[in-house]
Amino acid sequence: MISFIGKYIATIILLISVLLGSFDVGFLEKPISNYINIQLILIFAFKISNPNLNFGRGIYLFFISIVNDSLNGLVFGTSAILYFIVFAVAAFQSSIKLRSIFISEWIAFAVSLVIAYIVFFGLINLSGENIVVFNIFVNFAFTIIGYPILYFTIARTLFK
Amino acid sequence: MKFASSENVDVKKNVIIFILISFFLFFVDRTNNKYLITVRQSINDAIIYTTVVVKSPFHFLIEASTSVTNFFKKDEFIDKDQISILENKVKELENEKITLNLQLDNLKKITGEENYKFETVQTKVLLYKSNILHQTIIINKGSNDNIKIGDPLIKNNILVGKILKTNFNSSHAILITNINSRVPVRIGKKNYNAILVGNPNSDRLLDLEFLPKEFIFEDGDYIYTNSIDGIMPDGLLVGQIKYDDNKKYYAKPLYDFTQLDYLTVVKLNKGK
Repeated sequence: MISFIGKYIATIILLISVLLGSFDVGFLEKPISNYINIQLILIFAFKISNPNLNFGRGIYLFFISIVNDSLNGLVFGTSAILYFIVFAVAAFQSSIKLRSIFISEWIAFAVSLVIAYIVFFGLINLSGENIVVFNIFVNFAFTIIGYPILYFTIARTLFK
Repeated sequence: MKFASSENVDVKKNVIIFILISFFLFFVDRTNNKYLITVRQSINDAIIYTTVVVKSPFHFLIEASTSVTNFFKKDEFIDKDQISILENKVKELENEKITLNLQLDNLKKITGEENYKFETVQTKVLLYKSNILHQTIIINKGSNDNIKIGDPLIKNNILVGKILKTNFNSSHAILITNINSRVPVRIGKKNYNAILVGNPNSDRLLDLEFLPKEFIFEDGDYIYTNSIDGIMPDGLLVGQIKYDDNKKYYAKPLYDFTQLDYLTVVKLNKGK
């Protein structure tokens, strides 16, 4: 049981974050999920902390993205594209490094977020929905700021 | 120190394949093919109800801790006399409503205004989700209960939101505070027409668009729905105009954000 949890811990935590993300924890008249995208941080941090982690060769990641789209009322595939962009950058970053340099990983995460959010903006425009660009910037900034906290928590506790 | 394994090479191929599949899924899901809609609705229902079951222990824990906290607050005890006073008040208001409805019907007959009757259905809010795009609530009624996209959601005759997407036994709805929400409204005693939209800077405020060039609001003016094009029933309360310290007006919704457990869907295309 413990080895099972150990093997699938990243997938389980990511799935829980998607399922429980609907608790209304507010800050400055907006839910906390408006400020930070925990799922993207988790995907990148897990992959960087453990380069062998593949979320069941990507199948579990795809499944979790469908759950997220369904719960958020998004068009299927929207979250999957974002998740796999971040995952691809993390996989590239973890394959080129010889040792862990936090700053370079953090910059790589920022780059993956820029790509992911540009694609997200394009997809939402295709869907014909309005989006406040300022909200994307705020979410982008807080997600980058929040990365070290989750990264060190994961790296120091789960994969030390 | 960890090195990338040879398995990662396969994963990179998988990532590319999944990105392509995701784009394909995105464009396919946007088409309103009736077979794909059926598949999507089934998947959505399965995921939503599984999530509700998975979340139920957490909800139980939160509710239990709230109940325990309230139990130790002496002020929270409800006096039995107070309950009977409130029951009487409810009955009094119900009777008053019946009288007012009769008077309204008579007035409508005199003025020749069309008299709409809308069928309603009570729903429970299953989930509340929020992201940078929109805040959605998921209710436990869907197309099996003849709920359609665009049907208004109300609470105590106050407009809360409207249906965005329907599944078989659940529906996604957006709140009126969402920037993608558009509601035709009338404002105040002078009946100014406008379109009510969500405020991009706050989830607790509303914006008014297409107001007449000259308008004067009074503090406390009510905002009601307007039945232009039949996309909303007429006369549902939506919000109120308030003035801040700089004498600048703002509109705020009337519904209580903490009381969105049970809502009513107004079926627009039924019972006319």
